[in-house]
Amino acid sequence: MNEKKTFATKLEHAYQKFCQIEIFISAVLFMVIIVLVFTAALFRKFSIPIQWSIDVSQLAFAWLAFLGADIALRKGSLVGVALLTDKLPAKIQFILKCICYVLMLFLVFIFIRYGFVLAIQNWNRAFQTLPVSYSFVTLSLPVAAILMVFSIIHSIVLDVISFKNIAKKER
Amino acid sequence: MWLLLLLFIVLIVINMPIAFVIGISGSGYFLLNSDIPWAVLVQRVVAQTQSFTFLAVPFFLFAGNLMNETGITKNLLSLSRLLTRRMYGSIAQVNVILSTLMGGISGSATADAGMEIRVLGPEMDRLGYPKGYTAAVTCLSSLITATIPPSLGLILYGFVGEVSIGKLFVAGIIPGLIMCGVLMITVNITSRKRGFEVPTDDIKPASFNEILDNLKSSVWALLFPLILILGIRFGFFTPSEAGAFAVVYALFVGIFIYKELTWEKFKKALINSIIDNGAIILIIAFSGIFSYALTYGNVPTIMSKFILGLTTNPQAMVLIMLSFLFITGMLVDSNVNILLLTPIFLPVVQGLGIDPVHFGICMMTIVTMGIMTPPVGTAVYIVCGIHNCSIQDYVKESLPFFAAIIIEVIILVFVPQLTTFLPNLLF
Repeated sequence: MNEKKTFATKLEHAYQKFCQIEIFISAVLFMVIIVLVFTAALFRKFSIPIQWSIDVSQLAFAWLAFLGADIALRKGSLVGVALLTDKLPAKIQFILKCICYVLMLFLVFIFIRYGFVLAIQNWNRAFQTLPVSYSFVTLSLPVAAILMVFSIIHSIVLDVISFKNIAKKER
Repeated sequence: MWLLLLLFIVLIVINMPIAFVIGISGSGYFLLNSDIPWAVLVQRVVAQTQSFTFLAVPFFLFAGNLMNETGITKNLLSLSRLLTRRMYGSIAQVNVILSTLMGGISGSATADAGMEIRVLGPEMDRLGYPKGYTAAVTCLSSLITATIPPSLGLILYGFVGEVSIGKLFVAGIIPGLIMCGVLMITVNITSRKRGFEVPTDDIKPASFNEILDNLKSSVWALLFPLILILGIRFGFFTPSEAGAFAVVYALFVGIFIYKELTWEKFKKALINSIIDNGAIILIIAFSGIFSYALTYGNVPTIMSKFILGLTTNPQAMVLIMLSFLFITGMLVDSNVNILLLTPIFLPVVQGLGIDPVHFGICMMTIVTMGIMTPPVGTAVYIVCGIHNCSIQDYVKESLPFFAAIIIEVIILVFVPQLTTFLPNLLF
């Protein structure tokens, strides 16, 4: 039992580290976008258009958006309408939550399954003026979707633990 | 198509995050129509992020969060106090004026309401305002931020409806000030009637010097919306670039003028903005699936035919739509309303000769009011949660304020010049 627990805490610890890296990458992407858009606007005033800066920021934005969505999902910042479920008994609430998670996993799996395929198929499509493939934009979704799988599993684990605690108290 | 709607409602009822409600009910349609390849689903979602306009969303979120950490709020608060200290219900008036001033640097009504209840709530308690009244003033006055530029809702509307964001920003100024006016009148009437903070003769009205002294520091916040609009108008920057400029401006003011922005505060603002942005963009991205399904099922055309069957009087049409938005606003998030209903409503009113800028401002006011109406309203729950106040008390006390805003919107509908005058003058 004890061994199992340390494994779980180790796993949790590794996951937390991983999440910090995700936040760090998002922060860097965000700063890059701000600097690029700001300098491009400035340089345009001196009639030096930097078209690539807009394209790079669009590319970075897709990644920032979906990574940020994953972080928001994990932190519970994606709100729903708790109005009706709040009044239900804990057990039914728990079941409904599980249904939600399963459906969310379904959507996320579609993104993973078809996202990578799409990225490979479109490998030759150029991204605006940049010498890179548009697939680098497309990839942001399936990659973030993989991260979302972890976030959803993490939430399920937390919910199961808290449900068990509630059930214990009721007994 | 009924399946789409049914799935949408069921998923909302079981408390699924709203972004996923949109995504999953949209893909349910794909599941039934096997002739659309699944790859389109991925394509739609990714394509939604590839608009230069949307860069404005994280920029203005971040700029607003930064400004909140820089001590700008404190300066605007003392300015509001100076201006209202001779009025009935002085602190309630501060609440309204602070929202108006904050509207110029923040684009989110929820953020404004959350900030103000923390800053002003305890003091209003001490001065004897009922909790419900405090919550009502705080919530409803935050609606002013929705029309005063920059406004996130107007950016979304401009993107979906292909309306100039610069024009929308300018158009929101006068309605925002009118709203400030009607809310101040409502505060005045209710405070007189109930005897909140009756002004005594020994309080002198703010002197010119006092105001001037305050302006030395608060001018940095007040100048901001002006720079923004003039910058967009004279082509110095596009709305998205204006967002990047806003961030740089907030950093500059925070580090060099107020000197209150620390590394810790910066990090906090940055991470919060990444999360807020992720949550909003996910809704926008997933709405790509939903609107594709709607368009594929020809829903906008069917809907607009139906609406046009009701009336062809332009003003009556706008009022019908706004009433509809008022009801949907009680149930779903304001961003969702803008993203899903603008493409359906806008072509219809435009066909009847209504200016899209005019309609946008009216629509934005009502849609954003959705976050202040129970049963589902983010601002209501944040404010009542922090202030420890029951929803019933909030509803009872907020009725006069809702009435005031509805009167304002009706005036806006029938006097389009109030919204179109400034943009027509400037653009």
